[in-house]
Amino acid sequence: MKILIVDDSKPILTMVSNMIEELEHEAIVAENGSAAYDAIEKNPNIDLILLDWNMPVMTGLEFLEKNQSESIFTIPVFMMTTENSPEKIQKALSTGAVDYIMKPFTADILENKIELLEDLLGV
Amino acid sequence: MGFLQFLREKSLLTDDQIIDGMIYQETNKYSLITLLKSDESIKNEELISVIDYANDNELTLIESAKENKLLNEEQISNILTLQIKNSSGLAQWILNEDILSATVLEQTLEEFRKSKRKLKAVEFSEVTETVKVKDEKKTETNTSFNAAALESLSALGISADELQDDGPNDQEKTIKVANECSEDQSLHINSNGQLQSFFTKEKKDDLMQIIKSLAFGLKIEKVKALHSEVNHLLGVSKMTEQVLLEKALGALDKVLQSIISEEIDYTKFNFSQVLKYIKESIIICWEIKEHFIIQGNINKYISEGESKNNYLKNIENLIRVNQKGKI
Repeated sequence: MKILIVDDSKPILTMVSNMIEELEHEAIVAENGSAAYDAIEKNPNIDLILLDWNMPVMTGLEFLEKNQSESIFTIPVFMMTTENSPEKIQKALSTGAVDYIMKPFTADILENKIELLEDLLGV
Repeated sequence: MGFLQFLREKSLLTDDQIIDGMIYQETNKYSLITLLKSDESIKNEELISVIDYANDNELTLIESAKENKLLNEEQISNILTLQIKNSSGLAQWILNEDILSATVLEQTLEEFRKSKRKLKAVEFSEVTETVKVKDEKKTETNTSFNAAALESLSALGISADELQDDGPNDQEKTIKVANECSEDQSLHINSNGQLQSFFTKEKKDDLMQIIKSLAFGLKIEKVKALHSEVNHLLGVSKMTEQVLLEKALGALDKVLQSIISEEIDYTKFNFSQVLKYIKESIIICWEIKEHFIIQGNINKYISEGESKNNYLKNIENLIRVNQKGKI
């Protein structure tokens, strides 16, 4: 899988990229929602987006809302978040995310989520 | 609620016995739909309306058919005569299998009948009365009934002589009530053609496609489309009295309703996990349908440990989502 990680924290980008490579997937990074759109344009075959919630320039939710209104991509999105209120999660899902991962997370958790997605997609 | 469900709620049957009971029902049923379809003046649209009316008003199919004037007293009588003649009651099976004692079964059946009366469900006494006014059938029914009773009493270790010498006793009463209960349980249908024409491979592929599309993001309109299809299949399952399918699709239907009304707390159950349960449910339902259509019954499917476990586990998961996964 080619996975786009969107987060304004460089340590998080590095850590998650390492996890993804350990799991034998390919990682691409972007520092905010706006940069993520650029990355999607340059990499049309991205399979999954891991999206932070709070970022400068364009937040995760704004990133999803833009896609919801403009239908720019059809890629599964997992929110990476510390938000755990049902309302927030519901909001993310109703705006286009398919799942979320609570920060901090381990490679095992990420692997399980990816495997679940692959199963749903019939990969 | 059927007698099996009632027994389950009373913790009188194990999950294995529930499944065995369902298998028994699947293989010993009488065709309400076949009867209705034998009347060529009845259109498929009318049958669908019977199903919808039953769903909307929480009625059994027989009640719905009666209220929609598609089933008259004579037709009910015909079904009852058939089923009693063949002595296929669920309660009879429970006795034969030594699952419950005659005393416990009798008490439970009485409770069940009381609860059915409260719910204004099938009125056993009414339909039994209908049978009685038909003299010819009455004789036939009583003969069969006694044969069935004797057979079951034999299984309970009671001889025919004891029964005849002592007149009606507790065990006989139990069999009588058991047969009355079987009237409710056995008013089933066997119309695999209906199921085949509704649950086609194309339909299954469509459902899987919707599920796959949901893996790209939760879209309520797609869940509604899925719900609509599942609801339709649920109706057909009820119509064809495919109890296993009905239970699975019923649990799935409720989860989809909860997703649509945004009642699921996704901090308790991730959406992709819920989606996986939904996908599994469709696959299981398809396998059940295939076994029924191709092999004529679902016994082989459900008797295999893995299939049985998957079936039960999936329903349990869906029920968990719907009960414990709500906001």
